[in-house]
Amino acid sequence: MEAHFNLAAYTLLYLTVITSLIFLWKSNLLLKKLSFWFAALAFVSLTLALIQRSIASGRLPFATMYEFTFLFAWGILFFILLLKIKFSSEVLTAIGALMAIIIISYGSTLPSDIRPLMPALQSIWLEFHVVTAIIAYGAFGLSCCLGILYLIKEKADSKGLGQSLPPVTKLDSVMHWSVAIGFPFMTLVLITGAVWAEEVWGRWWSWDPKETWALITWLIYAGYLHSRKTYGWQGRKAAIMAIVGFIVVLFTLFGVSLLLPGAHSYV
Amino acid sequence: MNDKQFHVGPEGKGILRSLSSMKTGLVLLLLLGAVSSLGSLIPQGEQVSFYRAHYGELLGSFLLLLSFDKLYSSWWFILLGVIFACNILLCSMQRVKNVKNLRSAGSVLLHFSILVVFAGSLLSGMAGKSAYIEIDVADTADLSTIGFPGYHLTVKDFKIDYYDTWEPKQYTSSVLLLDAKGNRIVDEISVNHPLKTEGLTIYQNSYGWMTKGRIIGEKGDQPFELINGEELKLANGLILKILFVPDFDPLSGNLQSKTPLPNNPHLACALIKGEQLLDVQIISQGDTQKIEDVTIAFDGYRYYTGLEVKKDPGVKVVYGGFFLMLLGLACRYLTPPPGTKVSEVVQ
Repeated sequence: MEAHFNLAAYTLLYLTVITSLIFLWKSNLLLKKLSFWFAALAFVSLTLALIQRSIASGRLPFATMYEFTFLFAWGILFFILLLKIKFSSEVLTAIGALMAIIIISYGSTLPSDIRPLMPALQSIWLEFHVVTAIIAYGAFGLSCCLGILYLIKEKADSKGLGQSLPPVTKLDSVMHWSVAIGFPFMTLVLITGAVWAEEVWGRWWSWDPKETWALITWLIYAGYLHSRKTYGWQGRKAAIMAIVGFIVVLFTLFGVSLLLPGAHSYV
Repeated sequence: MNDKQFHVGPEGKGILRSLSSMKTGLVLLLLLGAVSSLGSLIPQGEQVSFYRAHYGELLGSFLLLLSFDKLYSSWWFILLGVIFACNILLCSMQRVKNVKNLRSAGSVLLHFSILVVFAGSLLSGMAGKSAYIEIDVADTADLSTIGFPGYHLTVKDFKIDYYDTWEPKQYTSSVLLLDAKGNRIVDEISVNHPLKTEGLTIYQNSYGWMTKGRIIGEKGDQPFELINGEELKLANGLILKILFVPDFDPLSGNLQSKTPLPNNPHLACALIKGEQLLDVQIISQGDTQKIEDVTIAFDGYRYYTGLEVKKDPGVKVVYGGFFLMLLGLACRYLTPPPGTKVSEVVQ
C-alpha cells in the first residue's frame, strides 16, 4: 500500500514538472491548474504513504534514513504549496517538484524495512527533533529554490523563464521570509537534539559529525540573516548564500551519513 | 547600509571597536563554521602515530602541533569561541539601548542566551567529569575508583526487554546508590531514563555477559571470570578464548545463539597457541570438558551492566541558556513586526 502511494506521488511529481514546463513554453490556464493539482495530489499521496507506514509500524515514521528522506521531500513540497498563497510561479513548482523527485529517488535506494524503535530512539525528544527538522529543512529547501529563481530572474528579467517570474525584490523578500522561518526551527533542532543527547548519552554536545554539520548549517543561515543587516547583502549574494546553505543541509543529512559516520547512526 | 546605527561603538577604539562590530562577528561566525568542519574531516582523538602515518611526517606533525587531533578542546578553538562570545556580548550591549519592543528584546535575549550556553559549556569542560564503569549483577562498585568519592553503587538486577523479532526494546539496570551521607536511592536506569540525584547522573550505556569457570589442575583449580569474548593467558603460551552462547542449539551445533535468552547456556572454549587454533569445545553449564591437555569447568554466568557516571554543573547553565533561547525565539519570531517598520523593505 505504502509503495503504491509512493509510486503515485512519484508519477504525479513527474507530471507536475512536465505540465509546468509545457506551461512555461505555452501559457495556458488549464496547464497551470493541472500542474498545481498534480503537485497537490503528489503531496497528498506522499502524506498517505507516510500515514500508511505509521499504521504498519505502529509509530511515526521518524526512525530511519529512508523515513526521514521521504519526510524531507514532504516538507519541501509542503512549503512549495504553502508559498502558492504568496505568489504562484510555474518555475518554482517545477524546481520544487524536481527537488522532491531527486530526494525521493535517493530515498528509494535506502533499506525500507520497518524496524521497531531501538532503545536510544524511544524518547519524546525524537518527535520534537524530527518535526522541527522537517520544518527547518523544508523552509531551507524552499529558500534554495527561490535563490535559483532569483538568479534566473536576474539573468533574464524579461525574456525566457524570467518573464514568468515575480520581480527580484519580491523573490528576495520571500526568500528572506523562508530563511526566517527555517532558522528558528533549525535552532530548535539543535536544542532538542542537545537535550535528547544529554538524556540518552549524558553528553549534550559531543562534536559528532552530524551535530557539527548541523551547527555549521545554523551558522550559515545566521550569517545569511546578519549579513543582510550589516552589509545589506540582499539579492544575488543572499540568493547564493541560500543555495550554499541548502547544499550544506544536504551534506549534513546525506553526506555526513555516507562519509563521516558517528553516533547519529540511524539517520 | 543601516549598520551605522547599530555599530557606532561608544568611545572604544581599535580592538574594542572592531571586536564590537557585526562585520567581525560575521567573519568569526564563518571562521568557526569552517574550523568546525575541519574537526569533522580530520579524525579526532587518535594516536600520535596515526596522524604521521595518515598525513605524512610534516603535515602530521604540524596538525599535532596545533592540536588538530583534539581540535574542539584546543586552546585556539576555545579562544576563537571566547572572542566570538565577546563580539556577541558587545554587539548585544549596544543593541540593548535600542530595544523598543518585544521583538527587538527577543533578538537581544537570543544573543545573550548564546553566551549563557557558551558559559555553560566552558563550565562543563572545566568542572564536569564523567566515567564509564562495568558492574556485574549482584556486585557493588565503589565509585571513588572512577573519581566519584563517597558513592557506592549496587547493581541488583539487569534485564533486557525484546520485541517479537528479538531486537532489543530496552535495557534496564535496577540499582541501589549509596552516597557519602548514607542516603539510599533505589531506582531503575534505562536508556533515555538516567538516574538523576543531586549532582550525579548515571546512564545506561552498555551490557554484556560475564562467565565464571575454573581451569582444573592437579595442584588445585584456577578460577576465572571472563567477559564474553575475552581471552585468558595460560601457561606454555596457550591462550583460552571464550564465547558465551546463551541459547545453544544442539541440533545445528553451531555457535549462533537461537535466542538472546539464557535458555540453554553453553560456553564455547577455544585453545589457541600463537596463530594456531588447537581445539574448540562446547561446555554446558555445570559440566567439565577437556580441551587438549586443559580441563575446564563452566560454573555460571551473569550479566554485567555498563554505566556512565557523570557530574556536570555546566548542564544546568546550558539548559538555562536553552530556555532563554526559546524565550528569545518566541519574542523575536512570534510577535508581528510593528507597523510599517518592516526590516524586509529596503531602499
